Amino acid sequence: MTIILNGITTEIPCQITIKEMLSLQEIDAKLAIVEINEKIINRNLWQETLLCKGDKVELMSLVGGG
Amino acid sequence: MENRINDEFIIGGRSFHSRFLLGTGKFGNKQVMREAIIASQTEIVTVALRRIDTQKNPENIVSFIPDGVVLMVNTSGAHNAKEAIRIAKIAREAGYGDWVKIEVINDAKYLLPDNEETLKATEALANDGFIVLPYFHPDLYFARSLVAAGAAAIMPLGSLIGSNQGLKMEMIITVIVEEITEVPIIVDAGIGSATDAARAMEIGADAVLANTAVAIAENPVMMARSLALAVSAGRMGFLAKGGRTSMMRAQASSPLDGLLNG
Repeated sequence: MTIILNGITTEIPCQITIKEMLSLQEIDAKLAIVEINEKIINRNLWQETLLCKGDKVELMSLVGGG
Repeated sequence: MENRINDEFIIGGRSFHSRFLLGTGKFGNKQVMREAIIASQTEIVTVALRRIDTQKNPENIVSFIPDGVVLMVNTSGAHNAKEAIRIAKIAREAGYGDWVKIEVINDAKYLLPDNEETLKATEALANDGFIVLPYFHPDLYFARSLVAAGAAAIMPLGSLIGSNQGLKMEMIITVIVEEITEVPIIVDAGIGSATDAARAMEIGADAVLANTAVAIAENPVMMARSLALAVSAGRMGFLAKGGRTSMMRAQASSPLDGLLNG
């Protein structure tokens, strides 16, 4: 199925959780901020939250800035 | 001697020892950034929020920031109040606290802040319980509006972001320092040297925020310490009320009587 990941249409397996998606994308879960359809998902829920077709997923993190 | 007990620096009800705030951008590597933070003894650092580049393997900046240092997320990248508010809320919901530096910029060449949108964001976020530090183009009436909107401190620009041009806005910042006493005034942007940092403090600013001057120095750790010492030195000069009398003639500092040839 496809989701919109940081603005880019991305193919991911069906029935995967946020945690699995981060792992597939090789992203360090400790630094990630995850927003789905403009709602921040608390990291405690990543293991149980399933992604749905067409979800708008934003993966963000803090970076250096002035 | 600096008397810290009588010279508290308070923002949002919290007391700090250091009057130097450090940005975390542009450092060559995160370990040097960490060492610069430690060397500066800063207690507040700024960070930005960005999309993760899934093609790269980003480092977790938070793990390089010493414990106890306040993280203040900036709203860089926001073109209007709505985008700034969104960034602040994302950071808070993600667990990074409620300190926010409002930065709303529409101008790519000069990176000057949009004061009107900055005010809207300040008001909305202050009403929502954030500790809001707006970065703005210095103007007295506008500074008053930010205070009325609930800003916890206000941050006039010294000169253009990243320019190391120093205190080009000195005259207006001096006026703001004289007139605005309700909240701290932190000079942000353009501070390029120890001289600039000390000068900002000597004219009565409550604190200084720097980033580029430290991050691009050949020795960022030493530069961080240099600016921190300059901030303390300038503050002490301000408190001591030294150097206020400017004269167009010399004033002897040794006695004029008892001269050997008299």
